[in-house]
Amino acid sequence: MKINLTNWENKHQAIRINGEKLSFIDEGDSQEIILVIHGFGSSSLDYHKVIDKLEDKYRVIIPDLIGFGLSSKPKNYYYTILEHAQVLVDFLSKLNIKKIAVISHGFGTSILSEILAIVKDYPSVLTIKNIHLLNGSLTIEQCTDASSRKIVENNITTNFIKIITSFEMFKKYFKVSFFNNKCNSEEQLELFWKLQNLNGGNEIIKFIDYCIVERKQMSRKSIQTLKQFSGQINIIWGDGDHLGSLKFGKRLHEIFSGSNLKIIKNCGHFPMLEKSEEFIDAILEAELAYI
Amino acid sequence: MHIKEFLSLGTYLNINNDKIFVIDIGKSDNTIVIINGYPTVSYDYHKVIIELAKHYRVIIHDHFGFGFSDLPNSYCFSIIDQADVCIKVWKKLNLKKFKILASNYGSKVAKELLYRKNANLLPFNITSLAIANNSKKDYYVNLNTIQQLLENKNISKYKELLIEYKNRNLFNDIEDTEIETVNNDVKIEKIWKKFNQIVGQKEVLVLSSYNEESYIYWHRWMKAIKDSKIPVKIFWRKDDLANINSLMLKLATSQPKNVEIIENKNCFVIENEPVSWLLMVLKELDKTTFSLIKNKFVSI
Repeated sequence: MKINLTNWENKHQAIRINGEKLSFIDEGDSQEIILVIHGFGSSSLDYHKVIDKLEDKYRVIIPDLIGFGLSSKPKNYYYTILEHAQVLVDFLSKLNIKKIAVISHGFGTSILSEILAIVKDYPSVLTIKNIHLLNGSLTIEQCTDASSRKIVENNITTNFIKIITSFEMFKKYFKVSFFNNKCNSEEQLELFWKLQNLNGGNEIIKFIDYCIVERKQMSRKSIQTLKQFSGQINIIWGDGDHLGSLKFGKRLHEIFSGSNLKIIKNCGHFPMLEKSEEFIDAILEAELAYI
Repeated sequence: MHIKEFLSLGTYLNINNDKIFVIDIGKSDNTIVIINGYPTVSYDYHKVIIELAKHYRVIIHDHFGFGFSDLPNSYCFSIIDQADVCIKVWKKLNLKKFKILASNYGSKVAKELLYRKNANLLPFNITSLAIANNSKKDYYVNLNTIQQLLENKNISKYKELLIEYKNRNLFNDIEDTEIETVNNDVKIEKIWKKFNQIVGQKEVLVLSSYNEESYIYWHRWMKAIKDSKIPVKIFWRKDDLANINSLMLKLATSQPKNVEIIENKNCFVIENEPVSWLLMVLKELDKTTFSLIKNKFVSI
């Protein structure tokens, strides 16, 4: 079936948390639950190619973070990492979910580590078994010197500013995130653009610089929390990502002792879109190994 | 009150393996928690604390990096972290129900706590919050390193260096030739030496993230005040420009339900007129205690 805004909306459910609408996908009947946290400026749509395969094995839960996708978009309000993390913890407790595995991408990983910090003191609320970190995870946090940090920051901000100016610019610069820039059809790109721009979503993307400052601010805490995480860490990294090169992925692998690194060849910033099959294999392989 | 006498009122609690100075004084069931902060420290309350303790159980602590508390082994200790510490301290003291009186740097900590209260994340029953910028110190503080740090644009570079230096410990076991560490290390040693020569350098490190946090969390804290279910009283003075510019204008336009804005007409500050300042705050917080204390001071 071809994907469009209506049938994508039909896949979603919504719940009110903290006064905002949180739109999410909840599919699959397995007892094993996997939560997916998308990155800044993205939405659950990033995972449309992999949901079907994942739900054979898992109950898959993909929320659109507040301010993105189909969730509500607060005006003139920067939703902090702290708030996203709290909303997700509340959300899971409302669904009565106690035990999860997590997939997180970019900004989502910063949220994940804040979630870990919240539940560390309350293990009865939520247990996180294993986590899969994708491209863009802890990239800003890892830069320990000003010059390399500046390069990463500039790269990210300029890219985000370009993709919100117009659909043509969006097409041109969204492609930069991919290794093979023809892997998305025109319709898919249009859907991405529509979702991004829905209810004034482009305004929220302008908060990218706030997001970078906050990630910098919390870098120490984020890395330390993940270092202390007792479950398994699986790193999946596309090697052709120019926003966050493979160097960062390799570094994470070294910092987190006992972690597993799966490199996806010829793949950009979005392995779930560009190499969906290899992405699924990487997740399932790791999950099988952890049982 | 001499500083030694003041120290004997309090004890040290062990939080995250660092010592924090806490005063817990007074036997009343009615509890008031004072969250202070740069440029004031707990000692600034020495003139009023004994009187206050006759009517309240008074809790006051110095944040990490300030006053008599330790500086944790971190170049950066954020407002969010300070709020976490507050919760730990109050849990250790077994507090259940109390009012909060916050000032200066502490008012940001209090707003963070208010946000968590609104989201039902706190195990305490906070009955009301008063925010007062109680210090005039910002006028002569200009001469101080800290104010320089906050105002000087170049200094943010130093701050970044320091934070990076500390963060690098996380990657200790990795040799990364791509990163030029040599130059930075020399610079850091120099900056660090300079800071160490000046009294009050502890605060520099803790405050280094203050500016950034003030704007990242601006929306969050504004929301906390607007959505507050408990009474919030905000005191302002004509001569306190920062407060008028930001917070007051925004609040005046939206007029939230539980928020009351009170003018500190005589511009009382704690270092010059501690008793008058306290009476002004109490008048709004707790009328009965106010009349009791007022009579006492009048009779003297």
